[in-house]
Amino acid sequence: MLLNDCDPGFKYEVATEPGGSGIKACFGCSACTARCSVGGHVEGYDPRRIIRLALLGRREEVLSSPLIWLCSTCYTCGEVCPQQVGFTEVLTAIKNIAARAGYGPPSTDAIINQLAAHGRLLEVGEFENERRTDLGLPEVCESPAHFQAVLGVEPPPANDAGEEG
Amino acid sequence: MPKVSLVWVEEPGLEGIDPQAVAKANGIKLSPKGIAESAVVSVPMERAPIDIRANLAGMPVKWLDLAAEVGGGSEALRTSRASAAVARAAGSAALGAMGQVYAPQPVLEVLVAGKGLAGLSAAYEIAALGHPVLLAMDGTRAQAGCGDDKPGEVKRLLGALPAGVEVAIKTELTRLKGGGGGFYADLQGPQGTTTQRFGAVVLAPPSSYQVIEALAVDPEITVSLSDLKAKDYQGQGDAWFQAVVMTALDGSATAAGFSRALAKALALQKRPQVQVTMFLAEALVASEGGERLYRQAREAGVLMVRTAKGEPKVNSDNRTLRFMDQILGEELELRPDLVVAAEETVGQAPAWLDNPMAWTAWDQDLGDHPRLQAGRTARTGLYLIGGARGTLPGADRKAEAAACAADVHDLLSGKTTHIPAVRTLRCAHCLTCVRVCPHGVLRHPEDQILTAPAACLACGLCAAQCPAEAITPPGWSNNEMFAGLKAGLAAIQGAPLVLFACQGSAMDAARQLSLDGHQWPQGLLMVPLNCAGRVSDGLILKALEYGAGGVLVAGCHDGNCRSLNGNLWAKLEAARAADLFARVGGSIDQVRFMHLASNQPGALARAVHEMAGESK
Repeated sequence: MLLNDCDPGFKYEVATEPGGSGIKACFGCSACTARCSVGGHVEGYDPRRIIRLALLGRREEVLSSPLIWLCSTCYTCGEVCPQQVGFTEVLTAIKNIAARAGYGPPSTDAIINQLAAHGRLLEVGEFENERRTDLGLPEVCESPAHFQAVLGVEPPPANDAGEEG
Repeated sequence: MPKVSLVWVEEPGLEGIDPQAVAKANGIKLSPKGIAESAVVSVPMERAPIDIRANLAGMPVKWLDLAAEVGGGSEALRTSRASAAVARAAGSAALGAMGQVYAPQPVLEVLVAGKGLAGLSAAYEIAALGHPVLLAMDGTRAQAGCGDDKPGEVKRLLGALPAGVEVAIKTELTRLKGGGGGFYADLQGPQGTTTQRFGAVVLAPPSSYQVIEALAVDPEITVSLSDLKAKDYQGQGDAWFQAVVMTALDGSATAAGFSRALAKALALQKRPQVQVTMFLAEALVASEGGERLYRQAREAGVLMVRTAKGEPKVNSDNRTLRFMDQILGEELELRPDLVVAAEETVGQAPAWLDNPMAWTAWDQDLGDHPRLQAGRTARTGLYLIGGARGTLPGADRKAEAAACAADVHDLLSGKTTHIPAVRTLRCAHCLTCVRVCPHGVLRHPEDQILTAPAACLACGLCAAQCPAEAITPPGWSNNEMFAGLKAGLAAIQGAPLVLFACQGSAMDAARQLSLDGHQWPQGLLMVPLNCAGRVSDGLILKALEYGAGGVLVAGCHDGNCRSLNGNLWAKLEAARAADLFARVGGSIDQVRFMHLASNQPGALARAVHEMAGESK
């Protein structure tokens, strides 16, 4: 890979994003890699590697990577980092940039679809409403229209709504 | 034969031993203050009461560290061990004082030949300690700085030199002979060449920054670190200007060189739309402010790439660099718009030192041997400081100069009195002594062996190695050593075993054991030596001839010897003696050598008891 094709400005972009200011302090010692609890379970997840790619300016590669969404925010990397990089915060900054660039994590799409369809994260069906009636509680109404407006998505196909009715 | 007296000073470790019995066993007189022709004292000189020292001044005296040799056990055992030790000392003391030896007085003037911050600081510090200094530099006062010094600092120091420093400009040291305390220097100046005597010589040859790592890229885009002007570079519009800053990757890298490259990389990175990539083998941040600079450069956005030697490689276009990124484990390429070549400070010792006949092994172990710090060389009294030694510019050079001055002061303050006496009628001029002396005491300048008055540490290597037995250092001559061994072994009760112990390590360990009440084998005779290097195969075989059942030589660990390699000479001699002894029917196990540190008393005890055939 030719470094001239990379974007040296990306590290400054991350550094000016809230939380990202520590990224350039990294000197690649791999203390975080050694202690990362996620890295022990997910092949290829390596905090030092993510920082290195960002410093080299491989912008699209970092932002589109599914790995950046896997951090468990346990802050172990921050405990052991000798340069106070604050990787958890740096990754938050990177995630914010990625989200704005249209690289949401796969799970976010599922959540958006659920909200758009039902107006809440759990689908409420007849079973729940019958129980509520037995207990003397009012039925829950789904009102996805507000979320559809906020999220800017079209109402889901009619057959879904038909079942609700 | 002079009469020997025993002077008994009571001290911890000697409790319960009857001095009268010890004197009687040796047939000598116990004297409270030592008034016979020669004396054996039960304690070392530094622990003896002042009145006893005063009474014995000028007399042939053997100072024993009896408490270190006796150890624990029953009163009878301890008394017999003390008697044997006194017998050994009395045996050599009975030979009396050596005749007058030729001992030139040390010269106290110091020559500093060289310039720059190193040379000027050395002249300043040595003069401040009270020694007259001649500072000889080629060139004028305006040229007193080196290429890697800060000019302002050199100028300030030159103006502040104390009255004790005489500056000789346009003067060069062209030839040097002699040794510590008595050097002869040929100085070539505007008025011709003169020869002057000096007690110590400090060399501070010039040094400067030079390109040492040039990549095979297009010379059009290459610039040296010294010539780099950051403000000449910037990116065009949105396009990034790619610059590469090289550091030394081949082992010549220094912290000073790395810091200098960092500062330049930082200045370059701060220019608009410039991206700097630095190639380094190691982040050498040990110089003052180095750690801060390294962080500043990274914070500014300089990209650090660690590479192995031989990287980055240059593609056939003479432009594109290829290297393995060690973090990603991936090969990357970079086509730079500018390559800054690495520079390091380089200095060279004067050419006249490249004469193996006159300056045998002067640079042996230079640099990393613990005994050769503060600018010392293997030639006592000759110092090499500054860039030629690899000392970094700035604070390190000043610190080295100050340490060097302290060492010069130590050398010339008259603490050393042991001068090996060379019996010129026996001397065969084989130059063995010149070759083996680790301190440059023995020189052969004008067809005769001369000794340097301030350099000797009385290690005895010369006396051990001289094939003609022409070197007889007072107290350590072969005759005295033999007489001591004979008398000591005759007085021993039990199976005789000799331990030759270096006072820098093994004797310290023995002393710890003795004072802890360790019970030595009854037949053990300890022979403390200034350095294990005093041991020769002849000495070991003499011990066996006089009845020793075994000989153990204990010297310092490799690289730890005050006399550089006296321990290794001892090891060699022990091996040779064991071989010779085995050839005449002895067992090769009866002569052994061991490396020992003063904090290893357990190892010494094990070795001694194993040789004595006891399990302990």
